[in-house]
Amino acid sequence: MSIDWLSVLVTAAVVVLLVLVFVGITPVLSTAFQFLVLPFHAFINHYRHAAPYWPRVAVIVPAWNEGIVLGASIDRLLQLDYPADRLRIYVVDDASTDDTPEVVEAKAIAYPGRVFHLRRDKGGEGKAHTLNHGIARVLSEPWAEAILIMDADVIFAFDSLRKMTRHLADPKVGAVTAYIAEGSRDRNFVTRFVAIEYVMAQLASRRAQNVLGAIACLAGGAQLHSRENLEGIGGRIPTGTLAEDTMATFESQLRGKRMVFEPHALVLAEEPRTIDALWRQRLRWARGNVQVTKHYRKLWFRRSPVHNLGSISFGVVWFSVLLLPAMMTLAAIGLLLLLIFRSELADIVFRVMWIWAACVYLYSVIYAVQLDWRTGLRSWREAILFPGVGSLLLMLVALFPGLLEELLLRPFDLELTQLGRVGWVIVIYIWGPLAMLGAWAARVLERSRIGRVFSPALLYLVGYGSLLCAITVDSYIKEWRRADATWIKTEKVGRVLG
Amino acid sequence: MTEITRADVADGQRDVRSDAKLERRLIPKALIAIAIVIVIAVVRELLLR
Repeated sequence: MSIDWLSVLVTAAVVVLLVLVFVGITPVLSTAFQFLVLPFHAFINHYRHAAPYWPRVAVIVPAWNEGIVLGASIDRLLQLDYPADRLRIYVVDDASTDDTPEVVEAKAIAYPGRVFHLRRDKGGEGKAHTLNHGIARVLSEPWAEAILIMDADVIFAFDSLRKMTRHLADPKVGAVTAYIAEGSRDRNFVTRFVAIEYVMAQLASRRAQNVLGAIACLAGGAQLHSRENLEGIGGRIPTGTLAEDTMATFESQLRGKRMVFEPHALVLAEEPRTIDALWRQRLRWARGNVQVTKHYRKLWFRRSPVHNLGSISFGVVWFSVLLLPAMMTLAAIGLLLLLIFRSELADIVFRVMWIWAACVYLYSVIYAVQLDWRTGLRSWREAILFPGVGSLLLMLVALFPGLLEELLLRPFDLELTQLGRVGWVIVIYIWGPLAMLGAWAARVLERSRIGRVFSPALLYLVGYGSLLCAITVDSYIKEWRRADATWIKTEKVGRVLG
Repeated sequence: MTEITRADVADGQRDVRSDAKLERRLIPKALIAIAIVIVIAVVRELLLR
C-alpha cells in the first residue's frame, strides 16, 4: 500500500495551522475564563477576614511639577473619613520647578504635624526613586503602621481608605489596592474608552484575580502596604523597571503575602485625553510588563506553596495580555494559509472563532456595565464599540453569513466578483493586524490639524483593544532595540471631579 | 490618639457585612449577562431558519 505523502503533508500543515488559530483565540478564552470566575467573588473574597481597623497611615505622594493638582489632593486626603491623628501626608517633591514646593509648604504650615514636605534636590529618576525617598523617611520613624502610595492627582472617595485598611486587620494581607476610576470633568472619546477599560480590567479582572489568589498589579495610584510588607520587600519599591508597582506586587506575593483588590474603595484619577498621550503612558506600562516578564522568567507556570503567581491560570491571564498582538497575528497567518490549503475549513474556523468572540464580548460587556452603572451609562458608546466597528461587523458576518451582502449590495443590484470576494475574505481574516495598523494610523493622524478630525472615527473603527495591542507591539520593538527607558510622566492638569 | 469607640467598630463591621452582601450581586449580574447572550443566540437561530 503506497502512502500519499502529499496529502499527509497537507494534513499535517492543516493541523499546525489549526493550532496557530487556536493559540490566536487564547486571549478570548482567557477573557471568558476571567469573567466566568468573576461571580465566584461573591463567596471567595476577603471580607470574612476583614475587620474594622484604623492603623496609623503615612500617605506618600510623589510629586514632580504637580502644583496645579496637589493642593486639592491634599485637602481631599485631610477630609477623608479616617481618624485625623492616624493619617500623615508626606509629599515627596521630586525637584519640581513649578510652584509645588510653595503649595506643599503652605499646606504643611496650615496642617502642622499632618502634612510634610520632603524635597529631593536631584529629580527625574522616576517614580520608584521618588517614592523610595519618602518611604525611607517614613520607615526611619516608628510611627507608621501602614503606608499608602498614591499619585498626586488622584482623589480618594471619603470612605475609601477606611475600606482598604480593614483588610490589613488580617496579618496575612500585605497590601490592598482600590478601584481607580476615570474621573475627568470634561470627558472625551479617549477618557470614555479608558473608563470602560478600567471597569473591565479592575472591577472584573482584579476581582477574578482575588478569586485566583494572585494579583498582577496593585494600582500605582492607590497601594496600601502594611509596614511589615514594605519592610519585607527591602523597605523600598523595586527600581530597574518601568513597572515599579507590578514589581512591588510580585515581590510581596513571592514572600507569601496576600494582595487584595477592594472594589468598593473608589479612587478617581485623571487619564490622558489624546491617543498620543495615552500611547506614551501605556507604552511605559507595556514595556514595564515586558521587563517584569523577563525579570521573573523562572516563575511562570511553576507552582509554589508560597504564592499563586506560578499557577497555570495566572500565567495564561498574564501572557494573554502580554502576547495578545503576537497571538492575533498568528491566528491571522493561520487563517490565511488555511484559506490556501482548505478554504472551506478556513471559513468554518473563521466563523467559529468570531462567533465565540461575539459571545465573550456580549457576556463581558453586559456584565462589566452592570459592575459600574455610572461609567457604563456615561460611556455606553465606548462599551459597545470597545472591540471596534470593524470587529463588530466581523461578528455579524460570522453570526449571519450573507447578511452584509444582503444589506449593502443587494439593494443596489450589485454582486461581488470572484476577485472582490477573495479580497474581502483576506481583509476579514487579517483584520486583527490591520486594526493594529489602523490604531497606529489614528495616533499619527491625530498629530495634524485635519487628521485630528478623523482619528476618533478611526479609533472607533479599529477599536480600543487594537490600540492597546499596537502599543504592546511598540513595547516589543522598544525593548528589543533597548530604546531609552527614561520615566516619562503623564501630564496632569487637575481635571478630576472632586 | 483618637479613641476608637464601640460605635465606630460596630459601624465598621456593618460596612464589611454590607460590602460582602453587595458582592453577592455578582451572581445575578452574571446570570443576566448569560441570559442575554442565550436570548440573542436563540433569536439568531430563529432568524437563520
